Amino acid sequence: MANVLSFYRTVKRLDIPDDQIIVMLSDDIACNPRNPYVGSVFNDHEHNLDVYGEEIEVDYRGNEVTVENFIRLLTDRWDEDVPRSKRLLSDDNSNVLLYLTGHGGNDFLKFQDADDIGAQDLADVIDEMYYKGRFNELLFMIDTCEANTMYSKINTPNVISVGSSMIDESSYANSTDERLGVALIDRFTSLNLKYLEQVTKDSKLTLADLFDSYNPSEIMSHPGIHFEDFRDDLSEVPITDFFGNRQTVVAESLDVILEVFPEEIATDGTPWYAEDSISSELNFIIPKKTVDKDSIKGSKHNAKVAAYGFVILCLFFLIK
Amino acid sequence: MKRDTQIVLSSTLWLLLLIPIYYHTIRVPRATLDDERILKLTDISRKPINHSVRVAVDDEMVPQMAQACQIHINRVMEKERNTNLHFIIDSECTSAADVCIHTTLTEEDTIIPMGETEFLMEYSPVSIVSRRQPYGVESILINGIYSPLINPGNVHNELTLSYTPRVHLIFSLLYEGGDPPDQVSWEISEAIDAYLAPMLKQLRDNIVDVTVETQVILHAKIGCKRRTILHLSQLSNFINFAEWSLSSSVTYPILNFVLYVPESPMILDNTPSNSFMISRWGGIKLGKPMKTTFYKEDLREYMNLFGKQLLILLGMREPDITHGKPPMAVRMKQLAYFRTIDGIKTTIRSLHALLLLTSDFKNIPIPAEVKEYTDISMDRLDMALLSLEVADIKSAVSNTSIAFDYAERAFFDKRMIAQAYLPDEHKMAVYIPLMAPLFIVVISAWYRLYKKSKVNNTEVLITK
Repeated sequence: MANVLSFYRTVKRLDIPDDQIIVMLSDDIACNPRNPYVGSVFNDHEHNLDVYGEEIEVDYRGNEVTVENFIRLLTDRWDEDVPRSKRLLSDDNSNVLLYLTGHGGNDFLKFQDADDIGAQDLADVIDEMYYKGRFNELLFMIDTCEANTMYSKINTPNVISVGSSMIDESSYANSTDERLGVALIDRFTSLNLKYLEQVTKDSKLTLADLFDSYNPSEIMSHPGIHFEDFRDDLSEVPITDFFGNRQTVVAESLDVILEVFPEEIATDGTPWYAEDSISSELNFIIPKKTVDKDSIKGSKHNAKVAAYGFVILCLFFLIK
Repeated sequence: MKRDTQIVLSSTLWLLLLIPIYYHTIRVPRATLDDERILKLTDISRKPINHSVRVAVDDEMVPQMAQACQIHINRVMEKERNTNLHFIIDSECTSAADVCIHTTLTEEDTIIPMGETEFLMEYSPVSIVSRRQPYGVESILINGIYSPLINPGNVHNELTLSYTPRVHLIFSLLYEGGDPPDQVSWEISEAIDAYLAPMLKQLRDNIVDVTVETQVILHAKIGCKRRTILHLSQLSNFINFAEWSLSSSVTYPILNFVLYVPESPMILDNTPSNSFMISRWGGIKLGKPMKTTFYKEDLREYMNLFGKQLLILLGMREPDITHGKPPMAVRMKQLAYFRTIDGIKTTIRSLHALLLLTSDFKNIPIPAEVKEYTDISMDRLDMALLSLEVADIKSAVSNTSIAFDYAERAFFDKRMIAQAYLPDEHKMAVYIPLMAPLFIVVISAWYRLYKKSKVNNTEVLITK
């Protein structure tokens, strides 16, 4: 659980608002009577940081965390009355980060004690999202035992998958709390987060930098990276494309675009378009030359083409 | 027949009855979609969509001016590869025409706009003598008035909101300070009524359904580092998503318009309008610092800007300004064309996605309603395509929005969840515990009967 909550803190620090983060937690251990630190969850044994804290928005918890709801969330197949905050309202301009953790095995991830999602099911759902244009790019991270098997069936374009461990390998915990008697955070997740700590909102670090930082001896398993038909070189994909909220901004060229509009479209009484048509002019010169379009467009400034980030963080079972 | 044979036979019959029930209960209900029709539409959407505009050119000055225009324009438009636009030229100005052009003889060549969509072209006798028919009317139409429909080069795709039949506008006043809180106010609803309502009504009637919400947020600190002169590279982090609550409960697309009032001067580098736009998200304007009360008249300037930004976000294209600015009424009509064509393409993409889904995932249930929805959607698409061909944009807009809604409803039907319905392993897992023991008992009973009958036969033989 600390895995997910620590991820939540990181993406939130990088400015992704709660309504673009969907958190699924299988159990409310923060408020579990067996938790001696009521309302708190820690990700290190020194209890430096309460990752649960006060400002947290968990969208799905307990019994709501099922394979069915997870698939519904990704495909947006809901009843009409399901609120906006529980939905993934992404489009073909959105970058989606999907982080899963829990008990996994060869080609499956457990949900609660009763159910599991298979690698093929997950690949199908991602395919469906691609068909409908529900993401521009998708980064899928999974930290479970034998995690790399979960992305083995995914061959959708523009999807990057990262797993913590190969087949027949376990994913190990980073630190165990002696008093609580449980492991707190996994090595793979914790090393990712440690790296992400140096990432700021306008950081230039790329996914290639993040992946290069993986050290199998430190993680104690072999992380895997997989993508087919990804449009960019990973060394050109900023981490903030997925973990941040950068957007395409048009400022300078806006002034040029606005010039083409009539001075006033706001009116008090007379219809705005009628008022305007008097001032508008058409030149009656039969053109002989082709028009240089660049001269109309003026200079263009695009700060960065990056879409809205959406993040889905899921934990399907309690700490291993 | 002996009694034990009867018993085994009847149990077998009961068991055989189970098999159709088993098949029925594990069968995934799958309606068959009209593949061919969807593929045909997909083909249509890959090429430029055929659409027409109706223009009237009167022949008061020169007889058969309209016919000459029609022939000339057809010849020019045939060469256009990027668009499939046709002009229907009438000789009488009726309400069905998008644009009316009147001609008259005077001293010099000029064009005078009359009213919303009518133009008066004045010719000098010299140009009538020296030029051939239709005297430049075709050029005014193709290179001037309709240039945005013909040259898709001037679209701001990165800004334009994808097709949606309805959009929610949120106007927010963000005040950097906030003490004391009750001093900050704006007469936004009066301002919208006065300055934006006519435009919103136009949009609602002809293009997209618009709903409006407003809010005031205090203590709004910006997301990037605060400076007096904000550099453009900082703007992508200007919005403080973590702290400003800019979302709403509606489930359809939202556009935001933010008036940001800083506590001390703050301007954008190199941008005289002091405003910027975020792709598919909305527009932001930096207001005068420390201003706490905005009366209706103060908001006129901002409503004016937000209105223009809204039109840009909806995809209003730049006309070729070397030929002057076409009136807004004409540009609005063209906006309806872009959005409708975009909507038709989006709807066809959804239907195609649904088709891929049904052909790729054999396990996913396809309820009969989904087929019904896709059929309605395709009927409406056909109507919209036809309306576009005959320049009936109003009907095209309404049919496209219905087609879009039905296609979305079909794709997002909540019953179409493959895994949750009945995964393959569950089919066996549920029924084997029930059927396997029964089959074992029945088969072994038959075997015993067979053995018994063999023994009886031998006994008969021996006694003979």
